Amino acid sequence: MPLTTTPQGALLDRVRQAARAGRLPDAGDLRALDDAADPAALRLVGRALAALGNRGEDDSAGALRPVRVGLLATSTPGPLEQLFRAVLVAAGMLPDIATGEYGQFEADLATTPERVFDGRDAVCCLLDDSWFLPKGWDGSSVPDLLSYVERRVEDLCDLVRAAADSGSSSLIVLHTVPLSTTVRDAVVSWRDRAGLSRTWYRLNAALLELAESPAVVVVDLVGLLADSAVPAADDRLRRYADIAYTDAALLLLAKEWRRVLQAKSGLSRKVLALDLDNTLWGGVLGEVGPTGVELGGLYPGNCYQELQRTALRLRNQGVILALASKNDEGPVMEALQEHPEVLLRPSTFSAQAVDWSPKAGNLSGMASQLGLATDAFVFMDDSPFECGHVAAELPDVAVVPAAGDPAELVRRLLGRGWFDVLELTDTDRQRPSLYQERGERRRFEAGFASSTAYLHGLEISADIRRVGPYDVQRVAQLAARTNQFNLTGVRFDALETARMAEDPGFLTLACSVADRFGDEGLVGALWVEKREDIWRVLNFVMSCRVLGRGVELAMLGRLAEFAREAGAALVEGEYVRLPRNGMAADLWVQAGFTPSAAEEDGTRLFRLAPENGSELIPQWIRIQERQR
Amino acid sequence: MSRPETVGAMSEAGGTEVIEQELIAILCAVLDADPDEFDSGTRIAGHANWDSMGSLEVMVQIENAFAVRLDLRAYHAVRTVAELATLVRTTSKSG
Repeated sequence: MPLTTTPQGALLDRVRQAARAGRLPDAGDLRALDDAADPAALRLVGRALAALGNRGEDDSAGALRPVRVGLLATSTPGPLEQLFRAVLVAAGMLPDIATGEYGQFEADLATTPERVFDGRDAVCCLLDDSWFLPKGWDGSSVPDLLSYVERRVEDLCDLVRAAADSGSSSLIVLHTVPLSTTVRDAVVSWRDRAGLSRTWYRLNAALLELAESPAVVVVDLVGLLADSAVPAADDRLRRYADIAYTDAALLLLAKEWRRVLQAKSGLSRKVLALDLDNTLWGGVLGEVGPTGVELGGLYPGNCYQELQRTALRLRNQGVILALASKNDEGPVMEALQEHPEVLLRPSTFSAQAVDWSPKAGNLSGMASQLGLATDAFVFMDDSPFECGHVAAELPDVAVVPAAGDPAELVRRLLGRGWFDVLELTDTDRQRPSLYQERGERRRFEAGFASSTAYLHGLEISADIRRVGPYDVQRVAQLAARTNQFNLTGVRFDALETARMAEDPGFLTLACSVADRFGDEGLVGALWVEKREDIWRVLNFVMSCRVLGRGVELAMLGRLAEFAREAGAALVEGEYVRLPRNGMAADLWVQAGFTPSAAEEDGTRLFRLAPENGSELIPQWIRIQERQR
Repeated sequence: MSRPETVGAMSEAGGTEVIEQELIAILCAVLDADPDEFDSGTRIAGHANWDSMGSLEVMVQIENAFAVRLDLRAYHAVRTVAELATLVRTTSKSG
């Protein structure tokens, strides 16, 4: 894509400027870098970031974890150093990379630690098939070819074992090696070709066996290539510059090595905090109830169950599970306890925050409850709003977006290797239950407002309008489906809503919301009866998706404006407790309405003089003036 | 990552200018240079930061930006920005 015009080019410019000034690129740019799949852009970024390494004393670069890496290669590493640097910086590390000389692979690996290994966290070795193959093989004897390969494997294993035993603290990082089809296809008999492949698999098995040494890590590049469908080699670069792999293949390897360094430098995460609705099961519990969520069985329920199974696997390997859900606690516990397809029962979570508070606050709360820092946390949620909020408030937390096709949930959770460790101990395995015993569920913060700085950045716009003919169906659906933010439980259907919309004795309002994450569509509705100069809210419903952004206050603010313009003296509403609407109990008070004494029939009204309602619309919400 | 805009623009009259602009952006990015160090007639290999790895880097960036695969011999025979633009243009036509 053209560098001159694309966002990729703009990102590159910003990264380059920052690196030149010795500054770290800002957090958003680092995240974008991390997501960038384009190796051509990343190698340019890696070049630019080299400037960062030269200024060790800079403050902002000091926020990165320094890692010292040696890079040895049996071929020309080509852009590997740049790609490696880019992915390491994107993951919060500041690499100092020393590369071996071309053609000196064995010598560098064999010579004393002082040269390449000195003080390095890891020495990463880029291997390629030509190192294991005889240059001048003439085709006459396949057994000769195979025994040559076997000797070379032994040579390499001896070299690596010697280096591993040298007492250096550097980790030696190797990878499995793909065999080029240009070599395999030059053996024309299928039997011999199978023999060559068999020998090659043994070669890779021998490399993988080296990982039994605590000083050696071997990543499975062959497996990665098979899964990623990128070409391993570019014949032109191979012949012209002895570059053994394509950029795409090198990027795969760099990202895998990054995971190793992440684990080696103590950046592994210990806690997985999971959202519930549309993450651990399909659907919104508050809308469909415990029996209505999609879990288990066929697609998509099987996707959510597979994510639960994966979380359980992580837990059994020492990852602490935490629950971060905006829901009422009762139905959540009921579903986790009773639903036959649930794999993550309440006892598998070492910390729980199920309430309507902002998730960022809840994550900090759970972190201090567990005695861990938020940089130990991975947070997975399907809502771009929640993900964005946590990323803004707690930049240390690794955020895994769960939006999109649920079939990809597991891959998204595991793909970055957040929980990778070099070695798993018994203490690790016991960690979740240890924390379980310490932990008790509690509320961390009151109210469900998000921080105003974040909300200002969301560019929320609300279109609050009288219900028109095109809104009626959607408003009725919302009334029928909304159980949680539903003030009185009175469900006006399409017919009643349409009638009220026509009748000057009533006011019906609909609200659509959009923000920089996208258009939420119609999310709220109000039904008001004008009783002389008192306007009575018959019901008020709002989709839980948009809670925490002040949209409900904006709607009440607009209602107050309408009432004031019409000369009404009071706006009043009530709250009727229903099984699932506990979260809306405080709405009227939060909006500044005054509670009256309870009426004879036990209901309690909340009242507001409309002129006092103009301040209700939050400053971060822009009201569209489309229709009055 | 589609790039039809660029490829489409190249077949139009005056496309060479668009190509040259993009090529200069790539050269600047790789060689850490300023755009005013280059015009159509600039001899690329004359740039102080040009070396063999840099030349490969430029090639990879060009192939990525224009969705072409260059013939290495033809690429190495190129001397100026204008010649490079012609190579990109003819390669994308034949490809």
